[in-house]
Amino acid sequence: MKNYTSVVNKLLPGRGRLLSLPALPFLIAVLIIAPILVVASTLLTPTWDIWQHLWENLLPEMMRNTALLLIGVGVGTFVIGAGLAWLVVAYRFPGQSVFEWLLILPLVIPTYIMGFIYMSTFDFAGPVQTFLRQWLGSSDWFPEIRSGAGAVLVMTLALYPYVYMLAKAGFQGLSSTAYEAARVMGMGPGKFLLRIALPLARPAIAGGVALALMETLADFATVRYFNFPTLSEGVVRVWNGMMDLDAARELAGLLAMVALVLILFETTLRGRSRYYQTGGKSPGIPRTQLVGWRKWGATALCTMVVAVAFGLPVLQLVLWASEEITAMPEGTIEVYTALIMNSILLAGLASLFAVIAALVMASGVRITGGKLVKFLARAATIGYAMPGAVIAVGILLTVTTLDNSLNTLIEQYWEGGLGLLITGSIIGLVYGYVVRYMAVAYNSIDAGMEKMTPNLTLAARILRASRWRIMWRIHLPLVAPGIFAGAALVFVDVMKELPITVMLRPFGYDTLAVWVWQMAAESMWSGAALPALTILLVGLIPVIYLTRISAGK
Amino acid sequence: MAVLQDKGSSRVELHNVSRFFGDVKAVNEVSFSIEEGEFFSLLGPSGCGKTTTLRLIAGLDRPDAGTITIGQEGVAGEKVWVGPEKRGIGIVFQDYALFPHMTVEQNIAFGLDGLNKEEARQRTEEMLTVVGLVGLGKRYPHEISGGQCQRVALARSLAPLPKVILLDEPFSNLDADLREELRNETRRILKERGTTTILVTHDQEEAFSLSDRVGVLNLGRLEQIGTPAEIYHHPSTRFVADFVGKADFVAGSVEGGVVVSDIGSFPLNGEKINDSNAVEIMIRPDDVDFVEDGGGNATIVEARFLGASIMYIMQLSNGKVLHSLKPSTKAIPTGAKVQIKVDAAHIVLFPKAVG
Repeated sequence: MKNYTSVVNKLLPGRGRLLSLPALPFLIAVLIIAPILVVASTLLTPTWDIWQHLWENLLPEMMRNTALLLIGVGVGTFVIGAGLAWLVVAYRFPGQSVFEWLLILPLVIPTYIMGFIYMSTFDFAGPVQTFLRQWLGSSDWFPEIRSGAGAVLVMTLALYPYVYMLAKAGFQGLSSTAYEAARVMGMGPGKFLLRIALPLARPAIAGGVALALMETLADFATVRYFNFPTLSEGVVRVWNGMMDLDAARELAGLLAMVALVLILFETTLRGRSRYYQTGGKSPGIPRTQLVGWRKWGATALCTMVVAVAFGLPVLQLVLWASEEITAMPEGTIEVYTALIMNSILLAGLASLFAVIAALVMASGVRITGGKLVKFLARAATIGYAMPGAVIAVGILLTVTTLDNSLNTLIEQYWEGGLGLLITGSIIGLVYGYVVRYMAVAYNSIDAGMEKMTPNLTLAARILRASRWRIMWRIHLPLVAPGIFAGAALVFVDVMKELPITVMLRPFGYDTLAVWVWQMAAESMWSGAALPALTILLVGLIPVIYLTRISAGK
Repeated sequence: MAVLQDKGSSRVELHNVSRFFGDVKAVNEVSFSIEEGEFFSLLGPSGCGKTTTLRLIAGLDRPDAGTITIGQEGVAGEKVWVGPEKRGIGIVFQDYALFPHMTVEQNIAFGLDGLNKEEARQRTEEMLTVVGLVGLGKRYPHEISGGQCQRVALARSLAPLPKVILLDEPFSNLDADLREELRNETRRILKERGTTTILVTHDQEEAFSLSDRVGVLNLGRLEQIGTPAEIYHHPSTRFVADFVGKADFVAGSVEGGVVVSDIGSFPLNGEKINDSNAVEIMIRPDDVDFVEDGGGNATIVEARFLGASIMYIMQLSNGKVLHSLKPSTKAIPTGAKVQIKVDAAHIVLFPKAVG
């Protein structure tokens, strides 16, 4: 009887239909988690002489730098991001509504682009110091930009928008009733910020800071310009410079641990509270009109941040680009076209596979609702928190064995074989991107599926729709916006991605991001300008999308 | 694909139907039958099994035991299973489950796949007229009000001409005014079309005002089935008496074929209860009357003004509290001494619960 029921229940809606094979989500989750797990597990079986060597050479400095950078960027993005968010949400001053979205714009500038612009502008040979020398005779007193402080400054400027956006959403979610209640009980606006607004927005702010820190941890290019080697930089240097996979593996294991600590930090700070306070239908907190010098002070502050974090870098890029265009060597267009095609191909493939993986995972969770699938889906989104260097090493470790045996197999049938099929081609690269960015597509698609309540499916069934009709007419149209949004976000992220690309690309395979990085590393600023501007323009897509969402709601 | 119903019988019959979730008996040996064209309500508190019962009838869930018959055809049983799409039913969900990306027209026409274009268009038009939404066909669900959404959901479920309509608390998300209006209209529409209807609700007023008959469920068991008047005036269990409407319970005992209590003595209305047995007497506020009397047996401690009527709360000399509902044309001040008069024809006796 019981057995019979369970068989029939399988035919019922809500249980075991449509991509229900638990094997498929399982397989995808394993493929995504495996590279990370392989790296993390190296810490369980450390190779002591490698560690000893690392300790004597690079490790103490890298660890110290990583810690300093994380603390500096964490504090910096928190102060600037949350501070500006409170300013634009709680006060009214000239230009407030424009600054509300202008302050997001630095998000389109990846740290490695922001980094080389700042370095070239402010170092000894740069225009600022040259100018100062002309007028004052000496610029020796000027602080050294190639330092930890310089790296912290640049990364803070590039990454504060994460904190700003999430904190703004958190503050805007505060209900006016909470504000009025606090005011009636005798709290001034300042006290309200400290006692009510910050604690309530804490999960959102913690999320933002965590995102900024994950980017910081993943960066290797910026810190390299600034001569401030961190763990990520170490992994890339050890692998790309010395081809020492063993040392890279051990270092990446350590890096993965730091990333896990970051995730733990975020979940603890976020606590069990939801992301945003549910303010109900009540409008947000009322804005206080700033008067006198405060009014213009607020405008000046916002203008300065936008100018420094967005205006100056873009202006500099445009200047270099115009130099470049007027004196472009023969064949440059062809080179750039190839770069763009490579970037588009990689980003396109990565978003295609990330979306497929995310669809399978998300529908697996929705349809089977099983605990195992849910756990796997959560585990598979961990890739987003992992530095690219960890993922790249993980893929090298996982795939190399497979690759070698595949090659041996093929060589038996085909004289000379095909070479390393996966690590030697863009397959490994796309795999790495999917591991890193599946979470982006997943969140977007899952939000789309949220709209698909079980009753919709049941209603369609009772109206005698076939499974295909339900899928085409009900499910797909509802999820499609989420799919497109997810694909677009992954596409842009991959265009900007650097560490995975640098470590896993086939020899001589350049993308826009790699080109910018290489040119910048060789101080050929104008050569980096046009590709960098292209990356910025593509990056505008999700920013426009984000501002439209926040404006729409 | 048969979309048009055969004009056969549309009785719904449940026989000893049970559904267990682990150890929880969500539906426990429930049997009832609903006649063709009847408006039937399943009434009970949340968790009583009413929605599970509805899902079993719809075929969205399968009973662990018992049989379900719709029309002449068994649809669920030991070796019988008919899928929800083949049962000839329509359903209106609590959240309406309108397809958000389709217009009102497209929603209504969704179930008309088997008809040709022209027929489907005519049927959709007809349904829009029936529910009073002519002219709103091109709107999307988010562009119309909650009440209009409810009408669309009803129109969509009626469009394929189902034999039976199932309503899962469809009025609970509406404002009080609108709820009243839509209830009456829904009943009118369904009655005019002669559609057998099963409504699930926790609102007794809703069940009473709409239904020909009501079944009261508690903890998965069907406690009573009957017309609203029967349920209200002759509850067969203490639970039904308590759940349906306001009731006071007064202790009494049977002495010489007569019920004796603090509020007077009543004849046994043909009930077989032996002498000197303790009983509880159920009295509805509308069956309690009183007159002002300085030497009366109760004092008015509170008077709640309800508009057309006033609910008086009276305390007996032994401390017991009794409710009385009287027209508000004449107000009696609190503190007044009164003499209680109970309408003996409507009292219901329950054996005293042990312990």
